[in-house]
Amino acid sequence: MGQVNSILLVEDNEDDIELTLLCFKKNNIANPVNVVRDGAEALDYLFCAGRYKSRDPLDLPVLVLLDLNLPKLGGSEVLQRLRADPRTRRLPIVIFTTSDEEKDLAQSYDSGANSYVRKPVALDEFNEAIRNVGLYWVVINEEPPRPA
Amino acid sequence: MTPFTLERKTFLGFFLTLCVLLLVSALSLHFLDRTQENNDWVEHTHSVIDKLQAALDAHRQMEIALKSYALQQPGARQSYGTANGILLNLLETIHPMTRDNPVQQTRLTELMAVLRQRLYLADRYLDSHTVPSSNTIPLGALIKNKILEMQGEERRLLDIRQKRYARDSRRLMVIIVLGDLAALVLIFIAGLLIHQDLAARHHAESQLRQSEQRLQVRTQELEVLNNELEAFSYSVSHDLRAPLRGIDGFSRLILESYGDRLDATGRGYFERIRIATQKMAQLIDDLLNLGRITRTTLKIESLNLVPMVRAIADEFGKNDPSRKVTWRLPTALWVEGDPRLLRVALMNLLGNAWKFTQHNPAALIEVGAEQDGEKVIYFVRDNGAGFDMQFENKLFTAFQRLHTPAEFPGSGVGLAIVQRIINRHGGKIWGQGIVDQGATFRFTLN
Repeated sequence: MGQVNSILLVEDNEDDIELTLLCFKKNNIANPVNVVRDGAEALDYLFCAGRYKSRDPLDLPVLVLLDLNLPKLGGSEVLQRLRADPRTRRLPIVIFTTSDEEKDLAQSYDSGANSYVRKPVALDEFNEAIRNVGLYWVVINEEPPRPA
Repeated sequence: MTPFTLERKTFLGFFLTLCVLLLVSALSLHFLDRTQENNDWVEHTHSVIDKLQAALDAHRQMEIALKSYALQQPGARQSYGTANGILLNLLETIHPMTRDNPVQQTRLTELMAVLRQRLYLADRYLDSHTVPSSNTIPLGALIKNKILEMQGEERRLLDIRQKRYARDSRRLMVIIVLGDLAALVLIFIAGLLIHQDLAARHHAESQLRQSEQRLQVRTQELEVLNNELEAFSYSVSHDLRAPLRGIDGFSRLILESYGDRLDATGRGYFERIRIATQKMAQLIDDLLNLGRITRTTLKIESLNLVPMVRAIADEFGKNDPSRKVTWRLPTALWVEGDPRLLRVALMNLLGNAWKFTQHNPAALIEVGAEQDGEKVIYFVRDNGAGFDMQFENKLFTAFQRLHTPAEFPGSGVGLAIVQRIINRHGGKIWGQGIVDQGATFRFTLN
């Protein structure tokens, strides 16, 4: 049995990782947060491959926070791969990125992102964004049924 | 280029050739006709000469018959009669044939007179068997001479007519040969001109193709440049902003967690770091917005600016309910333009008017249009802080400000964005201001 209601943070910027984790803690979101630092690692984690071979494939996070600008495999490609696979087709994925380019927004929604949040620069606003996202996706939102 | 088009050259060339050929045909026909006539005359003259020869022969027969009669040879009288008949018959035939020649006619008349005399004498001799008088001999010779004279005249005429025939035949040949040559030369010249024209056309076409290729290369280069620019601004929006979050976040965390270990100055410095970071984030956003205006595709439609202005005014009022601003708007203001971009432009222009009238208790913002000949000039006017006209040239330059942040906040990119939007609509924008009395921004579209 794996962790219950874990959150997967896909992020390569150590500062952002630190700030995100801090904000989760500040807002009393106690769900365990697992961090992967590039797109390929994110896929390995979710499909239980490579380093994560021993992970339980049924143990899916309750939320994926996905950055777009990632090493190796970009966020939008990770999103497409996840949506193409029946195991992760319904997985709640929130794009969490610095970019507010229209083409990123369009591409993300077209590829099946559940939400798109632009990371604010100011810490107060950043904290507010994390609080809202955490509250909504972990507490309010009903989880999709697990694939058979 | 030549004043004649290829079509006109072709037409002219073939028209001239046709004219020459027609002329040659007409002249040929004419000379052919003349040659035929000449030929007829030659043949006619030949036949007159032949008839005169026959007349000479008949006359000799007649004279021989008379002499034979004198020697009492049998059948002489009959021979005389026959020759006499033939001679008279011939002379009768010759008479109409020489009607064209009065000299010959006179000769013929003389000949006939002499002949009649001769015949009278011969008849008398034959009837009376008297020996011909000595003067009969000269009459015979006279007749013979007359006939020979006429024959000589006809021979002379024959010579003239044969020469004329030969001359006209030659002329006919010359006309046909020269005319056809002229036509050939004309066709050749026309062909040459057409060829030159076509060559020039081919040259122009190949040059056009070359410049099209150059244009294509240029377009590709521009596309590459544009892509690079897009990649750059993407990188700016993403990579340049991300560290700012770290700077702001950790400054804030230091203040929160370790603020008690710093004195007021230290805490002030960290606040300054945070303010500077926010400012830089704002600058990056403004810069990106400025770039986006140039990159977006225009979607032109007919729209009324007044509801848009009202919506923006309401928004401003909600954000700052303490302000009392009078808005003077027309009932409608129809323009052709991109609604999204024009909204951004109005947002900035009205935002400035709103911002710079904040110290005026009777703030007035006016939007409208003026007709200037063919053109319509739109304007946004306020009675705010205004500006000094000597800095007019700095109004639309990005990050150039005419006020300190303490007086009025702002990054100085708003009017630069407005100008880009107006320019993209093919219009112009200019500002007029008086310090402490207000500013008017006028613009055209298309």
